[in-house]
Amino acid sequence: MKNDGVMKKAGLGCIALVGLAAAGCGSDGGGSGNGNLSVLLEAEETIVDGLQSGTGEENILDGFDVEFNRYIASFGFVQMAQIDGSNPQSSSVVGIADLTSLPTTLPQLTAFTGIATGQYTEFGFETPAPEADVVNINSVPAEEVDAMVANGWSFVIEGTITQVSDGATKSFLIEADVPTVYSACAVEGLEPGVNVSANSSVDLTLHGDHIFFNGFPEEEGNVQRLAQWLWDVEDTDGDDVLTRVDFEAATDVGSLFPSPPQGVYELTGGPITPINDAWDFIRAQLGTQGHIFGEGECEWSPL
Amino acid sequence: MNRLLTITILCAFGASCGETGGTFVEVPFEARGTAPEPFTKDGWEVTLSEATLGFGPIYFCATDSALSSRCEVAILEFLDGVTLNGLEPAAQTIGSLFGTTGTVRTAFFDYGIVWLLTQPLPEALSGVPGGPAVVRSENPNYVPEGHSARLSGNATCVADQEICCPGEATCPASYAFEANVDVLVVNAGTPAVNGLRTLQEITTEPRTLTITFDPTAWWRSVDFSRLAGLDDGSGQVLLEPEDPDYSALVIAMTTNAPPTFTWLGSTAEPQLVNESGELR
Repeated sequence: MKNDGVMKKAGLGCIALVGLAAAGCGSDGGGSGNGNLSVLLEAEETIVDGLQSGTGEENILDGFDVEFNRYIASFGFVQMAQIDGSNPQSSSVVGIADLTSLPTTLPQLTAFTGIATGQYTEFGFETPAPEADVVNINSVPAEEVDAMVANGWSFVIEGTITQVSDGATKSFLIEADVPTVYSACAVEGLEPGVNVSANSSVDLTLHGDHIFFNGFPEEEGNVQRLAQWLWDVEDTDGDDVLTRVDFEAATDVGSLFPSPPQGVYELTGGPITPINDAWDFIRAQLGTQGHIFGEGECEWSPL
Repeated sequence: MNRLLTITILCAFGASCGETGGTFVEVPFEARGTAPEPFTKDGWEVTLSEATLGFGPIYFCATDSALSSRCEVAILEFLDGVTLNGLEPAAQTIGSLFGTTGTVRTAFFDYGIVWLLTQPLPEALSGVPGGPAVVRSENPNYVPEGHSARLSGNATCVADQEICCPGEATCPASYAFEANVDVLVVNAGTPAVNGLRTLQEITTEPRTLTITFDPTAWWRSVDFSRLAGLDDGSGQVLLEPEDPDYSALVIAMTTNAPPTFTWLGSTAEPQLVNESGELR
């Protein structure tokens, strides 16, 4: 929908698709056919290389650099189905990976083998709370895995923000439960979902810059990346690291996230309502960063 | 995004996602405000005295998504602007929603200011406070005119001064506050409020929609101690866009305390649908 006055007073013409929602349909990779799909994990370059201050489209606009030392995430429960919900496939595999250090050859999370070929118009996955049987994709330290399992964290993100004007730095550690269900993944301009052939793959991509977005935009091309809010969060417990307790204490949302015309933040439409503090904002943005094939958008579930 | 993708997304997970070419319907649309109940925050007792609201347009969509681009065609819509009394609990007629039968899942709307893709600047609609008018918010001297909300009230310190005005040498016993809010968007073609959830099966059965605003709730996130610091001795405080509490109001209006929807059928019983869009 665009607010351009062209919306028609007509019914919504929907082709009745039964989605992939049915739990338990399909199987962990088995099927009948000649199709094989390898599900790979990919990190956006912002996770590996960080974000730099500047005026470019991908830069942080308000004078900060950000680096990630760890970006550990839980992925899994891949589901897909062909049109009309036919040939549903699902995987119960959940893996943990540190996206700052993925190998050049993208690691495999799970695979579907011997399934029907063709377009799977419904494709989704989750960033669930990991359980004891979680697969350690790239040698995440055992104590990290244990902590994520024990606390239900989908993410452990550790990094540093640097104020470019004076070189001052702050460290942050985000240990967060963000059990998002991503669905209806699609690459713009292509058929929705993924195509399965005899030897095919799909990349599950997490973006590292969403916590610096100025809202939950229609298209990432319209987004602005800002980090002043993170810099402004106070280290309330004096441990020299911004953590959940500090983010939850940052309740002055009007100051952190100024609205137009003074600022550019729009907090409507995200997966968390209300957004009462910086922690809510972080979790909401983490719940939008799932993509396929790099920039292919997915719908996200409310948190 | 191509049409097929949109259709696919709109129907994803839905066993009944609306029928092709639904029957035309007209749904009476009214608003209610909420009577101003005083509340106390940080030692300040706060009572609103005015909440004149600008509202519209609004679109109701079948999609679960909060992305308006995934709702190319609305099920129901109201395209005009209206002025409402946000503190009046009695029903205020807005007009009619026009559209077709189908399942509504989300609403997208503006507070009286629309920025069309085809226009260089946002515009306050005819019918809203101060409308019609071009909103020149790009101008550094821009002053919001309250096209979306004209809010005022009074705050009285009912606790120790140290609680009402911590760390301050002086503290007003009370002050009047005022905010003229223009709810703006950053990008043209996007609504101010996206994907507000409201599940309802729209049939040919007579039905009314009531939208209820609670402006007092918007002020609960405001820092009245900080506002007291803006009182220059006149006993009057006007929130400016650079005040964090102006943004707090906008965030409350659009995100944290948006209006609620009540769909009533002819039997005065709300007709609800479950997540699958089935009547329950």
